[in-house]
Amino acid sequence: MTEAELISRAANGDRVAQRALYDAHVDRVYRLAFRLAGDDDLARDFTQETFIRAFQRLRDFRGESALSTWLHTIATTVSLNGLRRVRRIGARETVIEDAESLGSERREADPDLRDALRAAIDRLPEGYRTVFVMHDVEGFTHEEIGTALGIQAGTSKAQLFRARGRLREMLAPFAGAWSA
Amino acid sequence: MSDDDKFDTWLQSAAKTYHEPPDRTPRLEMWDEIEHALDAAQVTPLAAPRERAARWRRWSAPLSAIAAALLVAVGVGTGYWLRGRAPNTPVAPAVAAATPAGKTNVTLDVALQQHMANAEALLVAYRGVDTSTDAHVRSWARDVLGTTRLLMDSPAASDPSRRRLLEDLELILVQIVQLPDSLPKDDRTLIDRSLSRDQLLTRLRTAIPAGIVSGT
Repeated sequence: MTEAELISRAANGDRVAQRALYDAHVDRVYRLAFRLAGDDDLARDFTQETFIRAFQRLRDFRGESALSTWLHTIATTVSLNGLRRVRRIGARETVIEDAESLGSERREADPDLRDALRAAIDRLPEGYRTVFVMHDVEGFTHEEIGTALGIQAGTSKAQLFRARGRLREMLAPFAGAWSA
Repeated sequence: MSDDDKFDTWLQSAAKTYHEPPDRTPRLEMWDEIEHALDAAQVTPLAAPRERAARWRRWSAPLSAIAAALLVAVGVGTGYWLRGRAPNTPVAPAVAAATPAGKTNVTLDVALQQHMANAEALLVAYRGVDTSTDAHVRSWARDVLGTTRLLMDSPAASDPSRRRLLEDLELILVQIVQLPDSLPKDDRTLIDRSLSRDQLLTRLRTAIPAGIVSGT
């Protein structure tokens, strides 16, 4: 069965079709939510809300872009809104601490520099951080990012450039560590 | 290779460790929650009457959008000032609770209501325009989207029902902003149906007290 057929069925409430679409897309949605949230509970909440909203609005999906792009639009909106809520109640520090305890098999990097990089990314303005995470960490294209965030692809490129510049400034004390 | 190039190369590799997800996606656990929520949800599409935008409203609204954005900015700024906090500082619950809600939110409430009126005018105009004016409406929607996000990040969104309304509004606005220049009739129908099903216009109107008009 094609994805278009699955979408049509899922839009009419076919739970089997919904599950098939969920299975096809959940990994990337969850990864994106986790990268933005840095916390498993939040990532689960954002992923669940993304699919609930998507299935409730599937009749609105016009098919001009891939379903994955549409899902990522919802996922980023849900995640960023959710994170704003979390920040507002002052729980951000807890989220970061929890994230540090996750993922024991991380790639090799100098621990101090790695921590400094994580802290620097966290300190980026929300727009810069989102574009940076989507492009440099998760490998989205600028076109995909533009669609997901409701901005132009050129704006995405500009924000990525500025994000890297900010990170370079913030990590200046470590200059040389990456060129060794 | 310059230092900047070396940095970018290193960054793209090292950044992969940022908030690294677990190897296994908790598929089953999340699906159980989704299925439960879908079963519990009552999605009852409403056949809301199609409304026509008044011509004066369609063309005066973009100007009023600018005024509304200014009012919102003043409102948000005043809200933060009354709380004695910088705009980017997270609001601790204890501080929020210690601030008299009525005093804090009067200006912000007015700004929010003005924004709701403007958003409602936009959505009505969107439903009434023909495809040749879509670019104009999209531009207007982009302005309203920016203000919506500003309000979502302000104390105005502390009320759960308001927040939900702003989130639903944001999602619809993102879709409108992304529309192509030539919008097929079927797509218009789908978006109209979405607006009706979410009861967004009804909810916006409920949030707008009598006497508040876009651009006033």
